[in-house]
Formats: sequence, C-alpha cells, structure tokens
Amino acid sequence: MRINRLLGAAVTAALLTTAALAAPASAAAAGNVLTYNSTGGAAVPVGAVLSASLASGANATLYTTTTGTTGVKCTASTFTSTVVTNPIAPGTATESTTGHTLSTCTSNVVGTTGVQSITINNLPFATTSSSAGVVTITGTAAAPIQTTMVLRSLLGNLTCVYRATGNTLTGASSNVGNTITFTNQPFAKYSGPVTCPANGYFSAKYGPVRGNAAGSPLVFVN
Amino acid sequence: MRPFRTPYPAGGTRHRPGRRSPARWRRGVTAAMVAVLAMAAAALPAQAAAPGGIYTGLDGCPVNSAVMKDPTHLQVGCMTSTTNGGSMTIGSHVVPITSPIRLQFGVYWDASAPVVDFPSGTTANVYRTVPPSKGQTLTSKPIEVNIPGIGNIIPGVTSVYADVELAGPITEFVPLAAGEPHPAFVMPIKLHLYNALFGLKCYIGSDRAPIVLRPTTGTTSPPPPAGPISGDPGVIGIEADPNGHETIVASFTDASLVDNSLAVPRANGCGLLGTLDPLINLVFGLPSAAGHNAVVFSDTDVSLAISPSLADLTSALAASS
Repeated sequence: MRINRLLGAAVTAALLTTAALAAPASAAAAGNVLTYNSTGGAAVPVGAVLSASLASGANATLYTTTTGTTGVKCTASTFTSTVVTNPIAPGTATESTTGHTLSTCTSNVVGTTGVQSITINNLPFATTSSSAGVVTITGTAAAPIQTTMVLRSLLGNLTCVYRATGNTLTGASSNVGNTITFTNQPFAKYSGPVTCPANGYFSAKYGPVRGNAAGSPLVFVN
Repeated sequence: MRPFRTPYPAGGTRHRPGRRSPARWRRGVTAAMVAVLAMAAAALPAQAAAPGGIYTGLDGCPVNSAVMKDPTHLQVGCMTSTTNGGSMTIGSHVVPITSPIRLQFGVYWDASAPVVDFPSGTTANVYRTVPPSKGQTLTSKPIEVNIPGIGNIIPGVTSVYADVELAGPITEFVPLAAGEPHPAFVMPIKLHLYNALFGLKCYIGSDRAPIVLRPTTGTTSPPPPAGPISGDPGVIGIEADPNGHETIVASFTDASLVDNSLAVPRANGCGLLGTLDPLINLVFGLPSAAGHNAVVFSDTDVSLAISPSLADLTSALAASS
C-alpha cells in the first residue's frame, strides 16, 4: 500500500509537470527575455548576433575618478554579442560578448598628448541580460576583463593595462532607445609605467541594440 | 653752455669751511653714491630670478646653451635631483651616503627620436644631456670612509674621504623608465679619495676607465653572485604649467635607484707616483668585478621639466620666477 501511494504521488507529480511544460506559460505572453522589435515580440534565436554602437551623442569614457572628467574619451565604440540562451521571461538570457572596440579617442591626462590605441583583451566574455534590466559581463581568472591603452605622452608612449575590479562589469538595459548603459565601472591599473593613471572608471551608453536578422531588428528585454 | 659742476668740492674729501656744512656734504656724497650704484645696476644685465613654483630647483637649466638651441630638437627640458641617502658597496665594504648628492642638467630629444622599447609595450624617449648653466652637473660632499682593519683615530689620516665626481657626460636619460627594469640614465663616475698620505689625485676609476652606473627604479638583472634588487620610482606627480605653457613637470618623490651590475676598477694616482695604489687595491679588493658591487640612491627627489620647444620652456621658467 505504501509503495502504491508513493507511486501514485510520483505519477501525479509527473503528470502535473508534463502538463505545465505543455501548456502555454503565462510568461510566454511577455515572450522570451530577448525579443525582436517589441516587448513580447519574436524571440531572439540562440546564435543571433547582437550589436550596438554608442548611443547618439554619447561617449565612452575611462576617467580617473567617478566625478571628474580627466582621462580618456572615445567618440566611437561598439560591442558585439552572440546569444547563447534566451529563456522565457522573466529570466536571464546568456550571451557571449565577442567584440568590443573603442576608437577615435583623446586623452586630457596631464602629460599625455593623445591616444594611440585602446584594445579590449581576452574576449569573449560571458554576459547575462536579465528581465530586471541588468547586464553583467564577467571574465574568468584565465581571461580577465582587461583593456590595454597606449597613450602618447611627451616622454614616450605609455602602454597601460587595466583590469575590471571584481572581473565584472555591470550595466543597465533599457527598452527606451534599446540601450545598455555602463556607469563608472571601476578598472585598476594592472601593469604599465608609473605614469599611467592608477584607476579608470568606464562609462558608456550603447544603443540601439540590434540583431543580425533581416532588417536589423531592435532588441527588447522582457 | 654752463660748465658742469661737481656737487662737492674738487679734491675729493677736503671740506671747505663756510661753503658747505659736513652734514650737507655727507648727504651729497650719499646721494651721489646712490646715483652711481643705480646707474651701475642699470648698466648690468638683469639677473634672472630663480624659477619658482613647479620649476623650483631648475635655476641651472641651460636654456641659453647652443646645444639646446638646435631647432631640430623635438623636445627640450631640464632636470634636477637630490639624493639624500643610500650606499655604495664595493665588495664587502659598504659606504653609506651621508650627504646629499645633487644632479642637474638640461636634456633634449634629438631629431632622430631615439626610443627604447620595454617588455610592457611602453616606448620611452631617450634624451641626451647638457651641462647646467650654473653650477656643476654633479654636486656632492666628501664622505668619510673607514679603512678596513684600521681604527679611525685621526679622520683624514686613519680614514679616507671619498667624493663622487663625474668621469664623463651622463647619457641615455630615460625618465619613462621609472618602474621599468631599465636604467634611468648612464653615469660614469670616479671616486676621489682624500687622505693625508694619498695626495690630491687619488682616484678609484678615471675618465678613461670609470665606474659606470646604470641606476634603475625597476629590478636589476646583475651577473652572479649578485641577485636582483629593486628600486622604487616613488610618488610620481605630473603637473601642467600654471600659466598655460606646453611645458610639463614630472616629479618623482622619495624614489630609490639601484644598480648592482657595476664593476669597480683599480685605484690610480694615490701616493707619490701611485705608490699607494696597490695598498688601496688590496684594502678595497680592487678591481672588483660586476656582481660584487652595488649602489643605492635612496630618498631621491627628481623634478623634470619638459617641453616641445625651447621658447616655450624658456617662457615657462621665466614666468615662474
């Protein structure tokens, strides 16, 4: 009898679970976490490539303090990510950030005369995008989030290497303008001459984020 | 035309009673002296005031040097540094640096734009140096050195005074080597030894065979048996000119420069016809091969002004006075 009751419970649970998976989830009304063209729109398929440049009028900056304006400013920057998972909302989609560029940069750090190059190292980075609008980029111990800046100075060209504090960057996604905004994400100097600034705080606003499907549809977060 | 009249009687100091009182005469002499002094002062070229503010200490900057005036130079500047501590080790003998050692010179980055590449990817300018317009490139005070095995009863007789002197121009000045495993500069020196018995030209090292220092604020790679030692670039500051000139000042405070790859040659010129050279060589173990010697310049403060043009540098220094 006891065995029968256990079996019965198990069968009931299995049936209920099957029914739940088969039935259209209420969350499906909002669509997947990442959708094309509208909230609740068509799911962004796994493998889709998402990309964005700086939002209109925005700059990517790496300033030496959170409140100042001394540091490096770039008027061009792009990122590219590939969708790895895109579950039903609410939830968290995962991506792989495969590209991140910064260009057309200037420096107003005393003693520097310009920016020769900025390179994001160790790509790709694991990236998540949650229904709550939080975008998180995470490096690994073997491949930390790192950027190499070559600054021109009166005394020579400085190669300054910075790593993201905590090996993570956190941004905010918004369906208004389909943007992702990073604000004062801290970097610390990892290597380079003493003339490299010790810290950098990365800020940028990217958008609109678009997919690589036909028509380059806008990407929404649900 | 009226004849010119002196304000006081002909004959100089003689006073003529009834014509001028002594007090009036003294006032007249005083006024005349003031006038003469004023004229003399006006006739002399104006003495430039010492640079101030961020340029303090750069009063020996050779901005009027013909070498500095070469218009093809990509950059010009001047440097001063003061070392307040450290030591020099020859074999097993350690001589503490107990008096400040000051360096000052002008620099220029010539048209060939010489650079050195570091493993980190940084590319640093290599500057040539120019002697200062005022004073010596290297200034130090003699340091008393005990003679091994002899009690120092009579300083200068039972001890030696050693003074560091340049044995050639400082070369390969690389300010951006701060913190890198690369010499900040190359400096040939000789140690001038003073002792009642040594005569006036007793040296360890010479202009032809100097002790070549390659001090670094990074980590050394000496030959054995020495192991690596590390310097310290100290606290760096970079300041823009307060009056809008292009000149900047890089400062390094409390830096430490080290070199333990130097070789120390034999003594020369000590005693009559060098008769005491062997004794000094024996006592200090000379020549002493690389890997057995070291120099540490600690508590060093450096100030370097650098500019893309001599006119800008000159104006910046003048404006700071």
